[in-house]
Amino acid sequence: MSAADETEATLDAFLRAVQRRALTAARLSVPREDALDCVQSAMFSFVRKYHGKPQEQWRPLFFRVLYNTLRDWHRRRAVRNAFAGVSTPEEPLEANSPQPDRWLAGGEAGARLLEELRRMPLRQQQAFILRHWEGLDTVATARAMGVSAGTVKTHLSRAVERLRAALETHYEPSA
Amino acid sequence: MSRLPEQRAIEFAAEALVRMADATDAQTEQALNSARRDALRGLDKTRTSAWLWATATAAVLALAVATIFLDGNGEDKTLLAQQPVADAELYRDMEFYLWLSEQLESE
Repeated sequence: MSAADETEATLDAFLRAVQRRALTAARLSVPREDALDCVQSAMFSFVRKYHGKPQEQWRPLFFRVLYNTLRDWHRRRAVRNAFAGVSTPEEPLEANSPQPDRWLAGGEAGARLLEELRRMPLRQQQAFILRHWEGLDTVATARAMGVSAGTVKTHLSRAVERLRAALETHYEPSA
Repeated sequence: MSRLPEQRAIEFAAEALVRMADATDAQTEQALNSARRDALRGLDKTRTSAWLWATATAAVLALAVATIFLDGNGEDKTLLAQQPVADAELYRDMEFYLWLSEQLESE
């Protein structure tokens, strides 16, 4: 196998490993029909720009590209809405989805958490996903977000506080 | 009122995200696989472009070396006189290579 084929196979394995998680992260921020487009666009940009980077940098770089794509989507929508005189909806984006997640019916607390994640600012959502779901350390999270480690900690702290508050009604401490 | 410990909140949320990701249906999974394959096809195009740029750069360097060599001997002033023409032809060659690249990619 040539070096080029090996790189392609490694990239394929990497993208296969992150594609579902990327789509999940995107769906917290944009409607289902646009989430797939954003993930596809992020895959294209990542492969074109960063395939030559060391493999250990791929994950933070890929999520940086993805979140840049999502931020662009929000900017475009804000401009479009400003021209059309439409206010940005505050309700959860997935509420109007024709195919709600089946598992949500069985977990009210889980549904409440996802709703809170969707409602929080993109930066807080991004910090939480990268740090606590993707498992990046604070430095890698900061690199992926293009901010300082201190800013990551601030966003994380606010995100976790919102999640704790959202779960208050569901939490029954064991005796 | 007691509050949910921070670590538990993080675990609950991470678990909710895992379940959401696992609930991806077959049609969406297929669309993701297709998107991934399309993105990887872009890698071949990047390589082709890189190869063409390398070829064009090598041609420019070869021409520059040849020009310096001939100028150093002082034997071929005609070539120096034709330098702008040679440069213009080189640019036309580069345009041709780029056009050729686009044709190959579109096939």
